[in-house]
Amino acid sequence: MFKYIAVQLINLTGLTGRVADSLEFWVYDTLKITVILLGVVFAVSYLRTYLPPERIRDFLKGKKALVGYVLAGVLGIISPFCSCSTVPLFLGFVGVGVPFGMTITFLTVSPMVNSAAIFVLFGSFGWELTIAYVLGGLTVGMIGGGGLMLLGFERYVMDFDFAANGDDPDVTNKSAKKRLREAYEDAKEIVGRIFPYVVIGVGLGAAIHGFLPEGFIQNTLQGALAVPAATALGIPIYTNIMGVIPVAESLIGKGLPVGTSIAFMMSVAALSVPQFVLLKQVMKRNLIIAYGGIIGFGIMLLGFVFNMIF
Amino acid sequence: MKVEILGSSGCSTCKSLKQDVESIVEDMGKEDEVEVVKVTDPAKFASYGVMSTPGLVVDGEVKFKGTVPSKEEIREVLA
Repeated sequence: MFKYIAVQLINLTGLTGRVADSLEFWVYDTLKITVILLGVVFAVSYLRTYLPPERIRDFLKGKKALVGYVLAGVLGIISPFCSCSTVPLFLGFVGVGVPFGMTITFLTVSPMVNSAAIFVLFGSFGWELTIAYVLGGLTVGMIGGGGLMLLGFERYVMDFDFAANGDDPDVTNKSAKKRLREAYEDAKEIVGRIFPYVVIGVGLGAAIHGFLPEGFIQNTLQGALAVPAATALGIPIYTNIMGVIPVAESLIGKGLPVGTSIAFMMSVAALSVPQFVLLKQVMKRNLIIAYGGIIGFGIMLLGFVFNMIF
Repeated sequence: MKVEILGSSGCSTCKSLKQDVESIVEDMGKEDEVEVVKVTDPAKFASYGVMSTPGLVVDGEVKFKGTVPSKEEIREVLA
């Protein structure tokens, strides 16, 4: 359907050739991503009215080992879309005694695996890669969280007091109308914030799609260093994951190996300076370095593995 | 009365909550009695037991956390 709209629109402009090709990609992908984003964000926001962080926290507090880590990872996937909520969540978790390792698992999976990205990836690349993306992110988060716990990194959390104050949000007595209103407000806010990134990201993807010469990537971006290079390149670029998927999509279309593209995509979304500056308020340096290191190495590892299997 | 809005700098729902509160305070003609402050320090959120933003604190008591209250709800806690 989106394809049809895009093709019709481009026909109206009377353009042909590369420009038409790029424009079609732009319109098609912007429509597709925006619609998926609206649907998923609304659905997840609605679900979250049943599952405020206080509940997640109480859930994890009593869990032991494996179950807890898997849950922490899954919760990371459906966690809020704004990096500004990460730090208060972290403090809340640690403050009431969720095991430190599970907290780190949550914090690692949350930026790496995004619930809306799952649907877009599925639409663009099929289920094999989508499942690998989810499982890969979860594995890195679980190993990272468990590892830091064993190494005793908990001592690098800044001291702070967490007080129980006020009643926990009442999740059982909300009317459906109130839930819908909250989900709508959430979706409006999130999609509004992300939309510019989508337009720009798809624009870039479209330009690559239409104008990057075939063979350019094969000649320049190959070899063993491609994955680390793609990961490093993603650090200074900070955008929403929805903005970088179309870029990755075009790069794969032009022959960039899947693992290298995914590494770039995850790095742009998960490794960012602003995020680490925020974390510095609550974590000492060693912990931040370890946390960043886990994500960085995890992304590279996934990149290499995906290049081998896809 | 002191009203604190808890929200980190990148959080846009927190900004809109602050605007809502300010306009309601004005509507009620209580600019002189009510002081509205934005709190961005996450350690402070923790000291209030708030782990999801925005949060609304009135005279040291947490009224809302993790949701944007409706205008009527805000009016109620400011009354």
